[in-house]
Amino acid sequence: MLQMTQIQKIYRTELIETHALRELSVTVQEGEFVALTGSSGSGKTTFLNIAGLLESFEQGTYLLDGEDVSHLSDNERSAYRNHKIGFIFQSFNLIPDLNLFENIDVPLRYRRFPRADRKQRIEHALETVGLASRMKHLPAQLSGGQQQRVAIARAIAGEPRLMLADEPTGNLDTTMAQQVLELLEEIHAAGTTIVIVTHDQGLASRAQRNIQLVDGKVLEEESPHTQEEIPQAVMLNGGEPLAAQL
Amino acid sequence: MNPGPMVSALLRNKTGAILVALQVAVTLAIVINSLYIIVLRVEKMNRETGIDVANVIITYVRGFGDDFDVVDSITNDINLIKSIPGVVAATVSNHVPLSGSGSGTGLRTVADLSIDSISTARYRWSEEGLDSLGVKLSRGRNFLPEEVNFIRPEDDPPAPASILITQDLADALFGEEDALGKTVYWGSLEPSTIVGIIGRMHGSWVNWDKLGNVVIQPGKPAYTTNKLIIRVEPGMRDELIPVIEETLGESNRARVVKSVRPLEELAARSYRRDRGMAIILSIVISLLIGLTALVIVGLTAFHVTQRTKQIGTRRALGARRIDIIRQFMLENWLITTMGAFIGVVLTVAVAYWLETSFELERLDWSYLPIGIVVLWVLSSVAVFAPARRAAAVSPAVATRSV
Repeated sequence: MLQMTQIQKIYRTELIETHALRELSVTVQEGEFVALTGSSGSGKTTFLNIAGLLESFEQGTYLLDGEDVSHLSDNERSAYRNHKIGFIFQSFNLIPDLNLFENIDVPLRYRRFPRADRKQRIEHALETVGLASRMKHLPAQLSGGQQQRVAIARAIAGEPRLMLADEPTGNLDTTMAQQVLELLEEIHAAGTTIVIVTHDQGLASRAQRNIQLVDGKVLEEESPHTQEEIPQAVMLNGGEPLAAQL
Repeated sequence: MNPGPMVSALLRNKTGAILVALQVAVTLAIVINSLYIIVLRVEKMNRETGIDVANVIITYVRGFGDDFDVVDSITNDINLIKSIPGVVAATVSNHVPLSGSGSGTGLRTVADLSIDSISTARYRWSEEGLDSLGVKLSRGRNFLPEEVNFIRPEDDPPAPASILITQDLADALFGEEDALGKTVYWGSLEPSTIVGIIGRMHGSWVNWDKLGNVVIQPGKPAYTTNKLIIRVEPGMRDELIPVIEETLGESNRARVVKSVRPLEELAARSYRRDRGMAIILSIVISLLIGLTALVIVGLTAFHVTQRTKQIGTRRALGARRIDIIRQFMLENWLITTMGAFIGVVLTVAVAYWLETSFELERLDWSYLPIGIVVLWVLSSVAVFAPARRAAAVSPAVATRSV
């Protein structure tokens, strides 16, 4: 589903260069639930931005759903994001002036779905996250957990192949975080590939596989689950299998 | 792009939108009414006068001394002027059309003082008067030389047998009937016969609604101060003004040449309030349009800054740059249109007030759609730069924590 090889990302200012990712190679198979962990500044968000085609990179190759997306135009990247990727952000990123229905409608409109199709998708997504009765409410009228569920509904309404979540429970209390996590597990169980970026080890432990980043490199990978549950060999820097590294 | 969610978002966050809409409304009302006033003033200044204004020179001469012979002086001056190459015709006149200075009278079609007279400007000049102003007779004849005599201040001449009148005055006096050959009566009830009809000629007072009503009596005013009307060949006016001034100045030390000026200058002075009004209103319109554009730019730039994360999120969710530009353009179009609707009502109200309070002509309603289209274009141009800035927001902004 996602195959990054030798990805390098450098942020430059007039005075300094910051190597956010150093020859990073990560592979995520279709249907996996992977958690990327790391401390602040380890490159988690940069990885997510590149994985979600939100940012470009200097070196390396990136295959998304089998296609090389390294040299896509800005419009093509927009279309890829819209069609193939669902985003869940730490601070939900709902548009405050739009109600829940309209918020979920935003990416569907960019995709030019017919009105009836959009309505059906929005209602189904809201039912999935248990907020069908509140579709006319504004985000400010909801709790944090509910807002994140709306964000999840927005992400799943377009039936993406890949879902990228940036600290999805970072702004939630334990109970709400648990609800959101269960929701993500349900979505994963339905066949969607999920990659979560988090520094919450509890959340990461619920994933099939953990990848730990340090200074823009993969430090180690581990699976909280049995080896059989990992669909494919995990790739480390340089594309070598984890088993070979170990 | 369906504006539905945008409208509901605007309605939920309406203060800025309402302020801009009101600005647009006020701009529309002031711009349309001001523009209409400007057009009326410009049309007024550019009216066809019937006079060859560009090629006419006016000279004021004043005699002094007990032995000053005004008749002799005028005769010599006219002959001298006509001898200058490039001069077409010259006459002495009691007043100068378009100058703001003149005299008026009332004419009747019947000798009955109980009947209201028709007001008209009155001039007195020689058989060369028409040619001196470049005025054309449409029918009838000019004065004959024998009908034209010098008239001194102490003279009290009877009403002339023959007069010329303009078509406007003929229409006012006789309506559909042909005025040529008809008799009219002065305030003294003395009769005169209309021997010629002038197609068009403006009188002295450019703000008078009966500017086209003019009657000409035959005669050569011979007063202490006299006005000479001189017409020259096209293009020679400015060249001949100093020549005329010098020739007259040297020829007779018993009178002073007070001024030699183009009629165009005198007419421009008469229209200076109209011109001033047009200029002031043009400045007001420009400032207001500029201010409105700045307000739109400012509000949009503020929205872009305020909604940077939202824009980044939209980009992350699949919006192309053009979608972001469209969103801001459409949002602005909705606000401008809302303002235009309010502006139409305001424009009509202001137009009605101007019409009833200042007797301004009724607003030409075709200005409304033109004004709305102009505001749409203006607001679209104003919003484009900040909208492009919004489109340049990186989708990666969506994952930033601030």
